Amino acid sequence: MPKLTIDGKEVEVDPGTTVIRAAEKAGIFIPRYCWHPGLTIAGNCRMCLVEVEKMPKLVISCSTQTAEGMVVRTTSPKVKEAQDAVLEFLLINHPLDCPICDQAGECKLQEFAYGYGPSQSRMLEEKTHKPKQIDIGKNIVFDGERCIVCTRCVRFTQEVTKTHELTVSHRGDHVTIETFPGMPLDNAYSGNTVDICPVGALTLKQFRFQQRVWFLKDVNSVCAGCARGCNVFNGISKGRILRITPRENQDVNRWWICDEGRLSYEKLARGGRIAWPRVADRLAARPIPESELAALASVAAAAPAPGAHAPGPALAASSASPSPAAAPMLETSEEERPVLPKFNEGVPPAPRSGGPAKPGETVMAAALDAAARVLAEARAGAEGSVEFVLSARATNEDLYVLGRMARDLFGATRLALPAHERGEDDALLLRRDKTPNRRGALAILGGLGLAVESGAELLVRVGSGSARAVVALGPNLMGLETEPLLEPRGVPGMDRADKGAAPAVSGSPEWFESLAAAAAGTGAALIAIDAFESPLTSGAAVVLPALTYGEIEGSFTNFEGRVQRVRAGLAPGADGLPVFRIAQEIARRLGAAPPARHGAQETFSALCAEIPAFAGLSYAKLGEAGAPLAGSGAESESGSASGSGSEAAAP
Amino acid sequence: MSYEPVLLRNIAKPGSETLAVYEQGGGYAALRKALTSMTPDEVLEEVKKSGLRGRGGAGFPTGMKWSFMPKETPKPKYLVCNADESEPGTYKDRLLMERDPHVMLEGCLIACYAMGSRRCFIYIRGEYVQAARTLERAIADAYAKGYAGANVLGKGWDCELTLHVGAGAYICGEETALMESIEGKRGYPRLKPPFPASFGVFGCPTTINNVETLSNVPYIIDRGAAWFTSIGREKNTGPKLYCVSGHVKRPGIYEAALGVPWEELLNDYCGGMSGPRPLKAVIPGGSSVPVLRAEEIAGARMDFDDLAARKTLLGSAGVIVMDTSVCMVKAIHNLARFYAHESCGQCTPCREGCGWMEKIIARVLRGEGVPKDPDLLLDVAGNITGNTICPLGDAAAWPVQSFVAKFRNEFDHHIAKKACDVS
Repeated sequence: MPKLTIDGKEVEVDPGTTVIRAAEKAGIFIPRYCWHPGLTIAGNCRMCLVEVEKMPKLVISCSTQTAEGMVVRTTSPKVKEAQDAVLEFLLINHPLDCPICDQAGECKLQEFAYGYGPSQSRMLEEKTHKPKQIDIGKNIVFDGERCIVCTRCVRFTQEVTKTHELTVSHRGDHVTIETFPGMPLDNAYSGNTVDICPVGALTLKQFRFQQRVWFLKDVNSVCAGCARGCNVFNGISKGRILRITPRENQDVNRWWICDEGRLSYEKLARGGRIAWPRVADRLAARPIPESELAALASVAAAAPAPGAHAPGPALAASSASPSPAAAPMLETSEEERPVLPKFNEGVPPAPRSGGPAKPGETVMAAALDAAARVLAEARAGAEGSVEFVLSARATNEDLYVLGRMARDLFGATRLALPAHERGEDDALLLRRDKTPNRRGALAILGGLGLAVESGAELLVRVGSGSARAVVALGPNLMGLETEPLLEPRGVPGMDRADKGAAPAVSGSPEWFESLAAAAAGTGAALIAIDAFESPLTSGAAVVLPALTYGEIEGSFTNFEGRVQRVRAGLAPGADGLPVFRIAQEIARRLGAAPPARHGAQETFSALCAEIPAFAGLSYAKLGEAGAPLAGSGAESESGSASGSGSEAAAP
Repeated sequence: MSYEPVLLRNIAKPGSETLAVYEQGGGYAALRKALTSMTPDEVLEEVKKSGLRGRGGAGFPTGMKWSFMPKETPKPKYLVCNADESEPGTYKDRLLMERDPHVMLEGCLIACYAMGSRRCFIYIRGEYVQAARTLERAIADAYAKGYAGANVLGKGWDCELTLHVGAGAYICGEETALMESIEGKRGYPRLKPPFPASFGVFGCPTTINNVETLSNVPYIIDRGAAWFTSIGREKNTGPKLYCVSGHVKRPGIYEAALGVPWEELLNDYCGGMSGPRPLKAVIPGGSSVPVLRAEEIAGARMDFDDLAARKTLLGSAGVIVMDTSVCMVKAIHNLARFYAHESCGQCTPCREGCGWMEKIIARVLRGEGVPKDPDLLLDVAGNITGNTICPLGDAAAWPVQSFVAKFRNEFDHHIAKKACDVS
């Protein structure tokens, strides 16, 4: 363990540690451009030059190994002079177009020029001109004049993706970065080159000119695009996620994210958002007085007819119903209860003015009432079951509350958890499983004693008419999915809707369409919960809008068993609730003590107290880097996620 | 002028590049001697004793360099012959390769034997088309006669000779850029450490020597280290090729004992200055080394140590002679343009600085100079030296520093009068 002194501070490091990492350990920042902890050492920018006693010349701290008794100075006059010189060199041919450059505000050239550089240019000559605005890939634009040729991007394509699209061409002050002919920078991780570019040479087409970065509020979250659970910053401004960038976590995604995850915020802006709850005409074409609701909710009546096709009969009353007054949060007075929008009408009612409840809550409350009423009828019925379709796109909290409701209120023993699979697992981050929480879902449902059955089995049961109601989470909880899905791996053919008919992959739009059709065909009431429209919601009797990615607090468990928090940064984009809150409200209306009251944190605590795999976890324990499930084998290898000073090898 | 040429002894013979003529003159006897009667260590020891110093420019003791090669290594060991002669003012290796290629090949083979290497890469610059053709032929002949390839001279030792033709970049003469280039990559110098002796071509232990250096080796083995040290003076031993260009009566390549007096080289070998104008300045070791004024080179011994004492370098011994008709601003612009063009562009100071220096000097020549420019040039050059990955930055900055320091009046004149005070 060599011990050395950096700027008077003693620091002990592992053998083989470089000076720049040792300085980081001592809390001393040495400016750098080409060095990146996730890439090999290039040593070309010369920004990290430091003085080492007994060495005749300044040395680059990124490649110089520490030695016992070494004395390093990072701020000596000689070092300052060299930093000054390097910045002057970097700036002489730089266009200084910060006012129109997207990188401004997070540009290392800008920052170091202020921090370490000369304030004036001595360059009287014409600057060197290089190619600008070069479209080098599906998502990336290159500006040669802003480029400082640190080659981080080149090394990224060589070492991390191993796709080798980029190279340096030309010589001297005409060097520039180019793609090889016919080989654009189109790999699945190309956006990372923009993140690691210290200047504005590489920009993301989707974010170019969208927003000044200092107006972005970066919210620590986790990508919901696949089972990897990459840690991300959601860059939020103007009430939208404008970009997603990787947040370092050495145990999950190191420094990187895939382009699909990076652009997953586009799924939130493709339209199709379920802005308001909907209830079929037959259920809610009129204001529902409290008294009637209470009576109605406990009625066992004939199975309701498919609402989209014909208005159903009025629901008869019975005595077994709980009172909706058990839901104080959503309680509203009768005159404030507006008319629910008609089924498939698409036009929300005008929010009422004044009153204690927030605008829209009354609408949601009425829809929840309707859902509770349908379920109460189904529960009270002599025959038939209530079926549940859950989603691995829902959070641990959502699944826990829904699972509890299914088991405790409806005696469910099995339910479906449709798969959403596409592509293949790759060597870096991407997973074939496009759900962020399958591992968590299986752990929770297993912990609740609920079996997961195949989508095909569930369809068969609903189609046979044995179900009186179906509560289903849709496929679009984390944004409007538009990519085609693959058949999940497992028992071949087992997951098809019907072995003889055209295959409908469980979790595909066709499968949800089949589910809606099966419910309609047998008179089962379909209660759909989703954030965006799908074939499920278009065929449902009650549609309850869920909040979506960026609006919810909760946690996902990645495929390795790491539980990580997703954070809200956006105001709700719909008159809806998080899934676990919807479940709580329905359960409350049905007279059950809610598994946990209200907040995601308390819900998570209740979950951890009940599900053995989650034992001992809490939001505090998850922190910003997450924590592994008990016995998941995902325990941190590095012991910490503060990785910029840790290993250099690519994942 | 009583010197008996060694390195150039064959070049005037008709067919000197052929194996037959080389063998008639005693060619490959040294290789036979080494393989037959000497162990590799004895060969290495003999080269060490000779005091041979690298002829590529740095003057590093060759025997010591060879001894850096690890003895025990699971990896193959390589020798690289640096035939990427690109230094302006230097053209000695070309003559050797075109007119006496076998002596260099013999040197390569002996060096491989001494270091336990079984392959030598000969990296030749792309512009040396004739030399490459001659070498190709010579290598084929050497293989055919059993001097190279499998079972050399029937002694059970294999040694391959591989000719690699570069694509024409000055930077590929830098040893680590050259190795990158051999590997098929862009000719970018590597960070050191690791040094080539531990991590060279394809990551294997590698020694790299200049053509002229290796061409001395057969003579050392053949005639002995004592003979070699009898030429020249202490620590500067052996024969040396000088490439003299510029304002001399007979420019060309001359062989003399290392440390030949400057006046002897100029007057006796080259016939003195070409015209009536007196000597103004000399760049003694290829364009990269600091220039000397006439009075600074007077009495110099043209060897590593004497020129170092005069704050310049023997370098590649490309001696560029300038009389008083030369505008030093124009002269340095010519060199600055070369380095700006040849900077590989990898590290910041050299990439940006070389181009900037050229632009400043060009502006001064256009009559748009400002009084601060000479100091700016010194500053920019000073910001390059010592801060770059490879020596090209120094090579570009030193001439600028020395030209401005020693001929500042000419810069000032250009700036003040917007004209040249020489022509």
